[in-house]
Amino acid sequence: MTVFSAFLKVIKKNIVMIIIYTGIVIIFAGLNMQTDNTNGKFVSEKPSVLVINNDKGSEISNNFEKYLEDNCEIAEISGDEAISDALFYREICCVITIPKNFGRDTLNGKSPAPEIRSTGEGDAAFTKILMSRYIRVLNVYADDISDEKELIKSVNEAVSEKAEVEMTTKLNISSLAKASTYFNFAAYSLMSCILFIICLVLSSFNNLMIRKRTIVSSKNYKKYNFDLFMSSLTYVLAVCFFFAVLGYIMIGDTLLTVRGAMYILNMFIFSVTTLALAYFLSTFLLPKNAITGLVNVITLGSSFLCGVFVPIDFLGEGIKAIAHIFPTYWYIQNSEIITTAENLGAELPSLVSNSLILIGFTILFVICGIFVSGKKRKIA
Amino acid sequence: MIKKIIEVNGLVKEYKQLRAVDGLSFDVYEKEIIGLLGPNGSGKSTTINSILSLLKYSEGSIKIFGKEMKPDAYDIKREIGVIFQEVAVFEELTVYDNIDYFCGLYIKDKKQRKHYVEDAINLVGIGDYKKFYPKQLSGGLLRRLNIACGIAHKPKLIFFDEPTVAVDPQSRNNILEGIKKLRDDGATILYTTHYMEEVEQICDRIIIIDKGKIIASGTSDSLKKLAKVGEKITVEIYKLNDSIIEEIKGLKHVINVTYDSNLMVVSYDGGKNNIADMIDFLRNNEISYNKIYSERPTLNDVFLEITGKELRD
Repeated sequence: MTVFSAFLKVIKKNIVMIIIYTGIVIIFAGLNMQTDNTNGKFVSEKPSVLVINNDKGSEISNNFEKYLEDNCEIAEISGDEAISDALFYREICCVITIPKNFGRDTLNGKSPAPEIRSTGEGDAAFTKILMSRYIRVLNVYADDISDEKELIKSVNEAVSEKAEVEMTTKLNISSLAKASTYFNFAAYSLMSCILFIICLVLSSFNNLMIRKRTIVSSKNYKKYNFDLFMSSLTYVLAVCFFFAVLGYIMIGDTLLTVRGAMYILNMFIFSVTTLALAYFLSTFLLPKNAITGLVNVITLGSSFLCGVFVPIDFLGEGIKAIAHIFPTYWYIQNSEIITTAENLGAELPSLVSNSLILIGFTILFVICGIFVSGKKRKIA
Repeated sequence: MIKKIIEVNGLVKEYKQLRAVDGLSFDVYEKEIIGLLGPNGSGKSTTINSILSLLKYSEGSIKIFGKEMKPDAYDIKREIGVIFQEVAVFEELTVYDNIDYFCGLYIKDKKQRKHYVEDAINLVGIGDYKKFYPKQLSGGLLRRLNIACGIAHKPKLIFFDEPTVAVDPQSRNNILEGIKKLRDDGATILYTTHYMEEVEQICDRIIIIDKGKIIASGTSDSLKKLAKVGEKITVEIYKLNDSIIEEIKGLKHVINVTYDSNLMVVSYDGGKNNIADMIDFLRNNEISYNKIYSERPTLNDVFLEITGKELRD
């Protein structure tokens, strides 16, 4: 208990840092949850266009204009300068001009194309898709149908057909997205809390003179090291428990489901890996200022590279490849699988393999730690 | 019969080509303060580290309390306290918590520990600083805390490795008095230092080592007898004739007289009232002088006599 008690007292002396890192996860995860729009609803918006019909006398041209009126917001602007201004100020996304003799040329199989001036942005692209869809159908039917009314009827039937879209997912996407946001941000705070505190505490206990004083004492040195390890593990468990409770407060009942348990298990495995990394770093007996700098570089660097702050899909292929060397990447991968997998059972092999990679990192850090501390002890 | 607390026989420690300790043998007896004196690199720390099993030695044997000392000899370690030269405390713990922690490595019982910690705090005189953190303490107080951490569990054998380095005179006296009190309370003490005056002040016996070997040992007085030089009397005189110098050379026990920069230094090989005799001589010859003082031989003179070099080289 002597070692554990001193361990707690040293942690208490650094409690401000724990509060800061916890505050970071609350603020950033909280803000991201507020701005989250992954709520499963879809609302389509009509692009705003100007249609200039130079073939008013044609039924085909008038029908094309009507098709555009049904699918777009039609603006009323006249005069070249006003039209250019409207395009420049994005009041409209494009100007579609139906050329003279459009209807007659279509019936004659000349496949005329309407002229289009656009801003080149998303809405304009969507309008082009709408327009080309109509024109393509019109030209195909015009090859076989020579009667204008019949052609119009057939084209209208074809373009009015819509595909049925059914949302098959049973997932509560909204709450899972919140959980994903929370646990992704938690990776940074968790890593900071563990790395910073464990490295600082161990730098005190591993101080050469304090070690010497411990070795000459009647305390069994193996027992002493075991006490230190158990104290560290207890701290890690306490941090995991705290972040789980905080998660429940911020996310709600999602954490009480199987997926919630898997998020927490993933967090625990990641925490143990981080503890091993902290043990490895502490073997270098760095000064306390250097520890602060090093921990910031590791936590911020790996968080940015592995998709903690920015979704990993937004990152380049090169960065993604580099991210593989960090445990955080595998933690985030598991978090994403837990969030998006329709059938968790089917994704279990991926989850297990990612977890095994994290355990592999843990073993690697422990081996490296033993090697370095052995070398250091020999030099001392 | 006086009990042997430490028995070192033929201790050898080699670092590749270097023989840091070369066949060292000595005993330390119960309730004595023994001083281990030697220049840097003489093998003092290697000897202590070997005794404490912090180092694996090449040859020889070490017994403490009659039992062989080994790294896992926890029953022996229970009775040993060590005060290292460098301060070894936690910056994050208060004075009280630091002492309690290090005492806790030996004593499990909380009540007993509390009592022991209070005793240690009182012994080194840091009662007013219990809730202070090490960073808030002066160098002297920090040294006292370092000592309290090493002796709180009331060990029977205590190693002090240069505990007064960079300590103010008040703290130094406090520390030395504390060490004497520990001896009076029944502890045996092995004390290493550079400061000869400290060794002379508190040690019952002195071992002088150089290049890993014991070159002399005994009490302060017996060691000083090894030096050929005796008392030195220095007199500040404005003007002195050669005839007077010759006359002084003829005085009893005088072995040499030098006169330079108005300072006359007279060396003796014995005699008890040399300074009184010199004052009488100066008065009888009507020689006026500003000041006169006497210097007894030091352990440095002994070391110089035996090795031909200064102790602090």
